[in-house]
Amino acid sequence: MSYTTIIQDKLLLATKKILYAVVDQAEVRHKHNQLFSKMFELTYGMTVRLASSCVDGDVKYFDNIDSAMDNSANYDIVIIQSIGNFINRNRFFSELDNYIVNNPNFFLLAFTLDWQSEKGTGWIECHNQMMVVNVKSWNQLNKPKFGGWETVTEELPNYTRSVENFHDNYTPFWIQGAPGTSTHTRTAQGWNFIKTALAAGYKIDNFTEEMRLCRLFVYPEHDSDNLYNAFIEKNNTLVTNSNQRKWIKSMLGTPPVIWIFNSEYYRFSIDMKNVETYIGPAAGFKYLDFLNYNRTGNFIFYDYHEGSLDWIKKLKDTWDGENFYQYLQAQPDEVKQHYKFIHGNKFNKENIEKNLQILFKEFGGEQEFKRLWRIFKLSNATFIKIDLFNKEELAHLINLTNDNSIFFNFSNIFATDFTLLNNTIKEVDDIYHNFLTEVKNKFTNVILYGSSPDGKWQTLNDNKTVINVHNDNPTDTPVNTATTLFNSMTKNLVSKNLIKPLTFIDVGCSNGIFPKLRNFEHLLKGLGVDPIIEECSRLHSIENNPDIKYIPIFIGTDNVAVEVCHNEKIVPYEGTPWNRLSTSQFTYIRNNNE
Amino acid sequence: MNNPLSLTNDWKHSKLSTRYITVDDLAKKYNLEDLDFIKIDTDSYEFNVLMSAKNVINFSPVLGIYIEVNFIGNGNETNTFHNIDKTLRTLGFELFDICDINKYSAATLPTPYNHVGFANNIYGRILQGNALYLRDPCTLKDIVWSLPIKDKYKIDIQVANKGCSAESPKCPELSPDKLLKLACLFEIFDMPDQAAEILVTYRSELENLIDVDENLDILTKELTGKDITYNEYISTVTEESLLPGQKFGIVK
Repeated sequence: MSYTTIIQDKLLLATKKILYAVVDQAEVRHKHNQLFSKMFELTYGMTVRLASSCVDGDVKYFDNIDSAMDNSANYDIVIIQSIGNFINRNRFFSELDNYIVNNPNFFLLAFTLDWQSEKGTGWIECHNQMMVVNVKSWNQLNKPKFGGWETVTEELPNYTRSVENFHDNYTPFWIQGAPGTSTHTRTAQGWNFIKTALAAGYKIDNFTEEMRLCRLFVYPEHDSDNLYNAFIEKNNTLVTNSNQRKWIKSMLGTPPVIWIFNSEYYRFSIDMKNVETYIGPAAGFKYLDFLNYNRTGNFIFYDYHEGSLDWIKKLKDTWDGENFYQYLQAQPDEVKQHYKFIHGNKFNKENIEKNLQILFKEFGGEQEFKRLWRIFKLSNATFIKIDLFNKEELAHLINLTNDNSIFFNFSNIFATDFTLLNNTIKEVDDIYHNFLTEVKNKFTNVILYGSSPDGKWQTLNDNKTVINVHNDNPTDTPVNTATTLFNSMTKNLVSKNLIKPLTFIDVGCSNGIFPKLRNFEHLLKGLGVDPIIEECSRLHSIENNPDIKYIPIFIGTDNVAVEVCHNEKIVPYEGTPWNRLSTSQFTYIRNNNE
Repeated sequence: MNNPLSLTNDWKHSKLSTRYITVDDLAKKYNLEDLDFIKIDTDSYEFNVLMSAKNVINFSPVLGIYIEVNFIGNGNETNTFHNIDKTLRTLGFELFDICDINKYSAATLPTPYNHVGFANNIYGRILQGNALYLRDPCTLKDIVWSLPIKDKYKIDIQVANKGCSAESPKCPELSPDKLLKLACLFEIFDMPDQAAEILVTYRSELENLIDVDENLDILTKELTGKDITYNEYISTVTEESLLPGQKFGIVK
């Protein structure tokens, strides 16, 4: 099946009813209740965010996989995760979508471990950490149970497998049922899923390398006491498992960073006319969008990291808008070590250029960006180190201005992994709602923009909430947003639905449809066309507008020569607009005056 | 079709579709027969794509086309500016802008590249750009004078089509809805003046859809950055003072 199906049906996954099942198959709850609570909060909380921002679905907890599957009747796909599994990149879903499009009748996508090939004994294990089950196929297989850890010697289906492994000899790319049975002693979990599927001739694929890179499992059932202590004490030397170490280290190893560019769209796509003060985190260049609506205005930058505040302040005072790479390069090492980039992690000219091109493109070109930067350098800006989670510090921030019309960008501060690590889901929710209340009480007119704890990017304006689909995945190029010098009339007509939808075809839409057209959203409808299949799929996965489809196809005709020949006899338009132009008319008047 | 510029584009590592379709068929398939705008950037295949869109361009009618053009090459079927310009003017469009012009320097004295990779340079001759073609419905009607000048200064402004041969293709008649969308296209392509010209010239057709004066005021405000109406702005342009915006301190 070609990728065309994705496009015609929009993202195929988006058309499926998804159950995100968070399970405790390894019964961590009985081994270490506190660790269970933390792991549950993290996996559940992160999954809720994914279901909000990536592919919609219901997130539910079940004690085990069988219980999850018993409750799958109303779903097409079940994405099972054991507690302690963290999907940390949205890309997982575009990879999964690709897989499902190409394997519509699959039963199981999982971590399958071929112990027979590795050890010469045992059989195949389906690890509980994460798997994707096609409910239709599961039903056709008569709803098999997952299968526990018991040791049993019996006749099991023969199978073939890929020669290649992801690593060692027990991680085949795929296994598939073969005729006949052989006697094996099975000891590992998931045997019944595998046995039933192989007996029916199903091919079971392992998660692809790309999918593996999008998540981490920390094996909370192993060495649970030490893992919990390592988490509490933030000490990764207390654990030996490499994934556990990696996870603890990631908690420790998030030194304050300076976001040189933004991971989100640079344009808010929100009308900020009449806003007097922009309040936002000290990061990247997104704040410049305020100047697209206001030629003068005040900025208040807040951040918990003083270095980020110092960075924006220094940039504003000393960067002239030219040679950004050289400017970055010239900074002292103690500043450079905190640099954080989006497209390409390394600090080199190529990555800076890549980021700059996206930055320029979103702001309507290099010259337009430089114009905004020049205005920004002349604008008033205040810098304050605060933690939005702290009530007193929040009060301090909002009392810095007496203006009444405020744009408050709180970004994804209430929806990060770090937030979940240090607070319970309920705590984060309470703090978030307190924040909203305090800000709304303080200002007469305030537009709040950012992500709620469950991952929904939204604009809150006078109690109206607009949910925005938002690309916050650093590995994805954002869909281009509206960029133009002039758009007030268009925005006015669009907001009042006074024009009919603008329809377009963008042939060669790689890196996003033509940005100026976004000015017509929500009255924009059309097709992006590009022969690169993956690019269409990627754009599709991050597209916000349901009326824009991406088609992976070549465009052309074989009749060019005939058409040209036919056109030879036609005369192009001969008229001239000269007498309509101000220069022509004013020259005439001036000459008449003399 | 072999354009040396396409050497800078790397498709060889990408999985490509093997299917072909014309823009005309695509528009039909996806119910976009009322198509308003086409952008074409296909790395030297633009002319071919354009040729595949002629039905929908004529019958929608399409209001605007933004297309990458080359300033090198010859032949009737190549993706050169002269072919595209002739074709689109034959289809009743006019050229309103050439943007994102790429310059390439001589190897004798190579100038720095604009971007990473062997692409366009800071200085050099122009080889490539994006051309913006839009409909110009104001060619079809006499312009209504709005400047507050004495009658003796007023010229008889003829429609731009006057004097064209019978074969010369004209901008098609556009419905009020299409006129309004076209005005918006002019605005977002940084031509608020052309947008205003449509509003003024087609005031009677548009008044059933929008408050024309309100939108002229909006265009004026965003042009000047001042809280002034269209009429206030225009009233300052008199036979004695022919410098638009001067009174309000609006300079380049």
